[in-house]
Amino acid sequence: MNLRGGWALIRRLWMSYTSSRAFFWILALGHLVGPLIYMFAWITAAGQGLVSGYSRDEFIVYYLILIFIQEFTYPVSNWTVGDFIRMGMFSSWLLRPLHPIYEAIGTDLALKVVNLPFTGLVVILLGLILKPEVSFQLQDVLLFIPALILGYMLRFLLAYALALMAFWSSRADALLRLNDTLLFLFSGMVAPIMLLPDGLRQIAMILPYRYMLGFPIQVLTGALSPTELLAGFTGQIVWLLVAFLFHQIVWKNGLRHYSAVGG
Amino acid sequence: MEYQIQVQSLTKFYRVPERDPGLKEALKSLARRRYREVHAVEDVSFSVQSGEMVGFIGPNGAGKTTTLKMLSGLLYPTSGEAWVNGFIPWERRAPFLKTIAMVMGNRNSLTWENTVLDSFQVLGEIYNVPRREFQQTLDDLVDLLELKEHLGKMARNLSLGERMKCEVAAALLHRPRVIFMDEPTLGLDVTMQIRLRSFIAEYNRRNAATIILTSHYMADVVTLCPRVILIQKGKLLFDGELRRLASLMAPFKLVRMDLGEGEGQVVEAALSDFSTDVVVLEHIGQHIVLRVHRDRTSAVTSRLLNQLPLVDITIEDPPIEAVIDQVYREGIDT
Repeated sequence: MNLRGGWALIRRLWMSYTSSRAFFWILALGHLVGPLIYMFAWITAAGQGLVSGYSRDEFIVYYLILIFIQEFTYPVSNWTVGDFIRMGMFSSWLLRPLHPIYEAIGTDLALKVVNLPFTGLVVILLGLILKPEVSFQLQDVLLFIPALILGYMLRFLLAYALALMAFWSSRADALLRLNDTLLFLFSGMVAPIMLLPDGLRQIAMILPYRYMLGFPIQVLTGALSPTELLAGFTGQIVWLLVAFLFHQIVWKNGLRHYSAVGG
Repeated sequence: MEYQIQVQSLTKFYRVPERDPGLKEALKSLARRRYREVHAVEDVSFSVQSGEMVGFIGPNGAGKTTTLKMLSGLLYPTSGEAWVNGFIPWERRAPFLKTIAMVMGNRNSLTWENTVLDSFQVLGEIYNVPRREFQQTLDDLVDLLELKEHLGKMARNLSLGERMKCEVAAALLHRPRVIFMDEPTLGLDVTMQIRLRSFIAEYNRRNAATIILTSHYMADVVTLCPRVILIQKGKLLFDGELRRLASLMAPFKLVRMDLGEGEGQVVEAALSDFSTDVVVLEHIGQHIVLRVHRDRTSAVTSRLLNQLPLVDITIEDPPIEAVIDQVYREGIDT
């Protein structure tokens, strides 16, 4: 593991991203528009009453946390990894004594440093305007941190492995789109998982997407019993291992297919 | 004899999808895709000694870049073996990657939004170059390539030539022992080409680096590489001294003629009388260049002088470009 090189790469990407903040803030704005629309749709539906046990305030809190997690876990670099492979620019990364995944991790982390303060500010402002009644337990906040990090790792690794399918297909970004659509449906973004119809909810509980967004929100809002928490963290770790194995297989076989076009 | 690069029966075949033109064929290919096997490199073997500079030449699509990509670990071969610095390149082990560099005309190792020096320092860290050694190498490269004024600039603000110089420096910061240069002077103006050539020669002299260079500019090859490896359609055609290639291929002279105005038809008639060992290489307006077998030169020129109203005639050895062009078009018989 070339940690010194990896850290230097992350620093380099930070430096370059801070010089074009405005672009990335617009990107962050794009990430939060969807969840905002769902939030307003659900609080309108709830009115002063309840929708399947969720009140207006609970919807607000749910979606404000989701906006933050969405920004924290969104693996934006994976869209460019596929392009780099297709155009042959991936060669530059392969020639260095540093695993190319560092480039994607570095890009992601650099983006988060630039974007998260912006998203955080928007979430706080929305909280102040909408004034939901909310309180968090310290224990839930502490459990939320590993749930969030595992959620990010799972989302990143799955998307990265899918992006590497560009070694075989020049249109692997279609897989990333499918991945995003499944995430939209089954992660708790379009609606909290508990509000999904029975069949969909059962699928959502099996697929990895809930562990990327919905589960960390449930952890922070204290909505889960100790047994559900244990099952959730186990689910995150199992899916992370599956994503890691998938990545290893795609990586090793993909390199043999790489045609390094152009440069 | 110490070989730094050894290549044995290296072969790379690609499978590429293909279809006939038209919408109907495009729709058909959705259901059933047809593939064609491209033999990019076929059974190529050679060795390069430590500190040697070799020109790797061939026409477009000959397999030069594919070979270099296999030797730098970017591509897996279909079959064959290769060792570079004792490593199998496509295993891409970190100790191997630290000893090589690949300089490509279109390579982009500088970050556009960062200063050149920032990019250099990051590369120094990635290659784990000790700080003192990094500074010394950087000073050398800045001196040799005259980079001082560019270090503080954002990469996006550099001109093509400036960027290429910086890309070359970026590739050499870890002092690689083997350097693959793929069209390093591509798109550069004449001054920059000359400067880069003299830099490569000086770098080789100072560091005893082994260099394999591909270029379509024969001046790069003539200036830098006593030895050339010529490849065409994936197969090795020639491996040896450039001078030997020229003498093998040039039992010919070039006859350059300038005619008086309006003599076109006379020329056509005169040239059609010659046998096949006189080849018209160029015929632009009143200027004609012929390739004539060395033994027939005096007979042909005296006949030309008798038959044509010449303003000027010169006889010369063909330039290396013409020799190479002939090899590309007609092959070689060693």
